[in-house]
Amino acid sequence: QRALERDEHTFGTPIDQSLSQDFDFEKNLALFDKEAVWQEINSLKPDI
Amino acid sequence: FMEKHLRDPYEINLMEELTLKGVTQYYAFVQERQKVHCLNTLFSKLQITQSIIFCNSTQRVELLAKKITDLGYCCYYIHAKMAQAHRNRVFHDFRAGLCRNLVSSDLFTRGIDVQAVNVVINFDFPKMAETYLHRIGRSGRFGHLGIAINLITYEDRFNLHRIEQELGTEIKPIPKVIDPSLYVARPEDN
Repeated sequence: QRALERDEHTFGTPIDQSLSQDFDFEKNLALFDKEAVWQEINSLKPDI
Repeated sequence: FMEKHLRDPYEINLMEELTLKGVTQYYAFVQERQKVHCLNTLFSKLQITQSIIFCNSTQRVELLAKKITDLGYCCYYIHAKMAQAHRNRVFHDFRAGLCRNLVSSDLFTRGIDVQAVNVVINFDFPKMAETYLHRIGRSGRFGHLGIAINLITYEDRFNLHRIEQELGTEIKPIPKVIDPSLYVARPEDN
């Protein structure tokens, strides 16, 4: 069921005008601070 | 010896012959519903000789192949639920260059050895480092260039982090302009 929902999110949008504009890579990359997320993930790990 | 020479014994044991050398790896951060739009833009921007696009399920392989066809690009697909003879025929035709793009699930056991494939796209990011290496890795022939582009959602962040660690590699944010010399063969090379 979850897979179906995901597929719907991915593929459900009909092909239309919006696709003629370029996907904004930079704007989206700015939404993900890899450094900060890595620090957060590392901080969740127990010290070995 | 192990510590000095092997950055990651796990990787070496699994795939002796596969390497990420020569492959420049990027990620694009997306939401699920942006993936098709993102892919469409990549198709229009990149100088693709041939590409392989990986999905994580056979269902998604078929759905994506249909989308790509609807977008106006030639596209084959293969996945694990197809008969072997059928798969062989599709792969043979792809290798012969009859079509530029191939959508696939995880079938390749020894990495991709199609010379003309210069772009690999992980439409769905894999969960396992071994799978990543099978998809992106090459059999290490000198001068075999290519780029790999990973579509990363927020849910993929743990897998991205772990796979970078386990393979001792770095997947960089996709730059505004990708230098063609990283993946486009110059005419005199052929």
